[in-house]
Amino acid sequence: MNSTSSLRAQAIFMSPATMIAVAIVVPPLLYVLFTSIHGSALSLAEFDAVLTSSLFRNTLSNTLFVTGLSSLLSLLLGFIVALHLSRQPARRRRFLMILVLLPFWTSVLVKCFAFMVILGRDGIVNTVLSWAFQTKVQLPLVFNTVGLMVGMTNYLVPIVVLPVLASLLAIEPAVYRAASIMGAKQARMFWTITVPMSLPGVFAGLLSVVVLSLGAFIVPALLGGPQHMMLSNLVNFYNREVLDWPKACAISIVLCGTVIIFAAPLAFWRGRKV
Amino acid sequence: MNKRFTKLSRRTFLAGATLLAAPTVLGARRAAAKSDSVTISNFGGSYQDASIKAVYDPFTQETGIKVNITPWPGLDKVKAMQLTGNIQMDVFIGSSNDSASGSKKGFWESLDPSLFDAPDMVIKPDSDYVTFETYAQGVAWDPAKYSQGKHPATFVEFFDMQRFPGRRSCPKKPGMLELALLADGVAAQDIYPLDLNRAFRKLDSIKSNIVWADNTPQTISLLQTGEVDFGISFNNRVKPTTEPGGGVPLAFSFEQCVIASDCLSILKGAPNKENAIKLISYYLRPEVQARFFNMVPLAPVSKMAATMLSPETRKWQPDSSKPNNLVVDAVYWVDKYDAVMRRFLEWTMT
Amino acid sequence: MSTIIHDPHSRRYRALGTGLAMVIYMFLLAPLLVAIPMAFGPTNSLTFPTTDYSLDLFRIFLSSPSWLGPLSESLKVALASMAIAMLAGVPAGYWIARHEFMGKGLISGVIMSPLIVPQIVIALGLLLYFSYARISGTTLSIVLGHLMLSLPFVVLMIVAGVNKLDRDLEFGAELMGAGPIRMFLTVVIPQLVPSLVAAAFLAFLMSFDELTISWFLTGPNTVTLPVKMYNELLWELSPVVAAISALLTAISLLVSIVLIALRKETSVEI
Repeated sequence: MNSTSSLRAQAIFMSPATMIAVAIVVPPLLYVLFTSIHGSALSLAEFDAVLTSSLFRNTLSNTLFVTGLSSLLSLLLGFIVALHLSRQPARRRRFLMILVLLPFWTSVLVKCFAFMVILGRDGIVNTVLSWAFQTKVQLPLVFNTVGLMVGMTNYLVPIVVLPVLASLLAIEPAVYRAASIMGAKQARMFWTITVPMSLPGVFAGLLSVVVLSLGAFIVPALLGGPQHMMLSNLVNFYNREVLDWPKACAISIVLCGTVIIFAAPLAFWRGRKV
Repeated sequence: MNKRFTKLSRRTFLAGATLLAAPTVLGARRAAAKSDSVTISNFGGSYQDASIKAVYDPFTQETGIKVNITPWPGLDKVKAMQLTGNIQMDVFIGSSNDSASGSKKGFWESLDPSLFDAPDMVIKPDSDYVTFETYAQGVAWDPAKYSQGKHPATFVEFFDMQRFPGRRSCPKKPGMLELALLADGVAAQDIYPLDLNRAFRKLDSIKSNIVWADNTPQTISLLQTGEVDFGISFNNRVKPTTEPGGGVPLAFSFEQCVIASDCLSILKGAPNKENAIKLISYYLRPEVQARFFNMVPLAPVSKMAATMLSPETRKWQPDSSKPNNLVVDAVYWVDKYDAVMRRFLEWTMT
Repeated sequence: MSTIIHDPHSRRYRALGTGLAMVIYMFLLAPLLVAIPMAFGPTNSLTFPTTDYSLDLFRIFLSSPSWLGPLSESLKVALASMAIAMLAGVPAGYWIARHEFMGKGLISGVIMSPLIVPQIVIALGLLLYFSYARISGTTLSIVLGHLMLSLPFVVLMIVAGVNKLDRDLEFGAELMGAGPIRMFLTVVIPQLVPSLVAAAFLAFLMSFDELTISWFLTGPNTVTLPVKMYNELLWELSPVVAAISALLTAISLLVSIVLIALRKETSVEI
């Protein structure tokens, strides 16, 4: 292939995607950036107003708290599932994968309303508990931290399972055989082989989970309590309730900054591990 | 805009944005040249069904103008439409807060006062929006669980944790501040401007027992599922629970209410302005109001229409002349909403 | 997996792991097991378990224009954004997988950026951009918004699919004198079919279920099904939503099965 024809081919292959990148992906982000500093004539006044308000500070600390907790929970549960899947024969694994992927592709709206029914004061969980203990149990399980964590974890676990499973399946069985011939116990094999070898998948999963939970919008709105406003809900509030675009944009920029602060080290580690 | 700028923007437009420009023409819906229709937003559900039966269909029969319904857009969508210049609807139905706020931002066409019979109206029309229905916010409970005397009936009682222990649901809206002041003994005529510190102090006293309802249906579902014992809800939401298929029947106290209202307005640059004016004045005719409000549990703004309602309907109507009832002052909220809402949200989060 | 079990504890560990995993599978499936039966419940309340089974909710859904409008809007948007994402993403994915070129990192970085940028920020930016570009509220604006989300996935899946192909076939075709485009259409595309199908289904589903971006971009005439569902739940807790949930779940099930069936061929961890 000579270089001119290859250039022409490249133009044909790449131009639709490049046009979309230039005309659709980049401008919105630039608009957010410009509106946040143009809101009051090229200054950082909007940021000043946002960063000093206690509403914003509360929201930010909540966002970090929810992100940390839901990432840890989903990592733990996702790891257990991935480990179980990695030890199944291929055919059974295929079937069990449906149990992981189906929730993954289910609309988040559907999940939230189902959890309202499951976790309500007279919901399924409390009904079962009441029957089990023969007294009326009415635990508050929804519109609070519990409900929010249940919803977030349910949403994030499948996202952890997939990359971790890929890492676990990549471990050569010979490594385990060699270790057990050398007399290593199961527990020791787990901590010296399984966990270190799964780290690339863990970091990849953690990266997605952190990005998704920092930006979570629907789950906190539907399952969390009033003290669980996240940065996304605040962006929605400033757009919808107050029609204040500059402030909504300033918060968006802060949100992106937070994502970068968390995602950069993870992406860096991942790059080193893989 | 000066000439050079238009030339420049046209060139850039042609060069760079062809990708976007070509389909735009296909994507945007153009208003029909000969206007024989009008587009109005609606809240959906049973309210929308009643609107069609009582208002839109008869209106079409009388005038030949077809009524298209769009799902309710927030004010943010109205703002986007105004910026875009692509106005896709004519008449906006919204709460008095939204209507007053849109009025301040210049979203609406001004309305000719001669369209309305002001003396007949409980709430007078504004220069660019007009109130057409009112509804009441008050105490609701499950009568199967709490008989007469076992439940709060006024806001003072609702805030009394000693006499009526239990969990309470409240809408997550700053409208709770008016309620708190009424509960603290402020007379209805002295509520505005709000004494915010006093209102928050009063709310603090029951804060640990509050479950916040994020949206209107939750004010009902929290009570029906037993999530809470008492709640602040709306008469038009409680009444359907007492009808067949309404789930657990609830009760609503008319002893003390905060009366809020919904308004009609015409979007600036509406494609069918003439028809929109016809529809709005049709909406406010007493006989149309009577027909509509016999179907939905809200109250008409027309005093004459109120006298035409069936006795069964009247049982579910707030009495706006009652001295301890409060009519919300939308104009107060226009300037204060942002700051008060922010403080209110901060307070709920701590 | 290794079948050597010398360790008396290992069985216990394994049993514990399996038990925990089973509980988590149940937890993941719980919402679906609740949402679907509710769809066959009575028309007046969202209850579980329901006492009288009926198809009333589906009948209401399929006979009311206020639900069918958003359904057709969602189908339109999902099909259009899927088509554009495929047309743009498939050739780009192939080229990125097979060639080094100037600005490759930059272009792929921009295409992939929606994976990292929070959706609400994308939604707000699109609202501003489309308002000033005067197309906000149109079907086109929602199609372009969804395209932004699905394009990176399509490109990723095609890159993964192309990486599995045998390059010698492509070299062979070129030696026979086929130009790059003819070679792509006759040699690469037929081998990529599983990846193409998987990517298309995925792009369709992503758009069909999308709420955040649609929530910001819909106009009065362009309400999508998830937005209508969300709106309905904000105004009136309508049991019809349970029927919609079942419909959405059925579509998700179909897509999951297609993706799983094609996993082996596409080897994409999605």
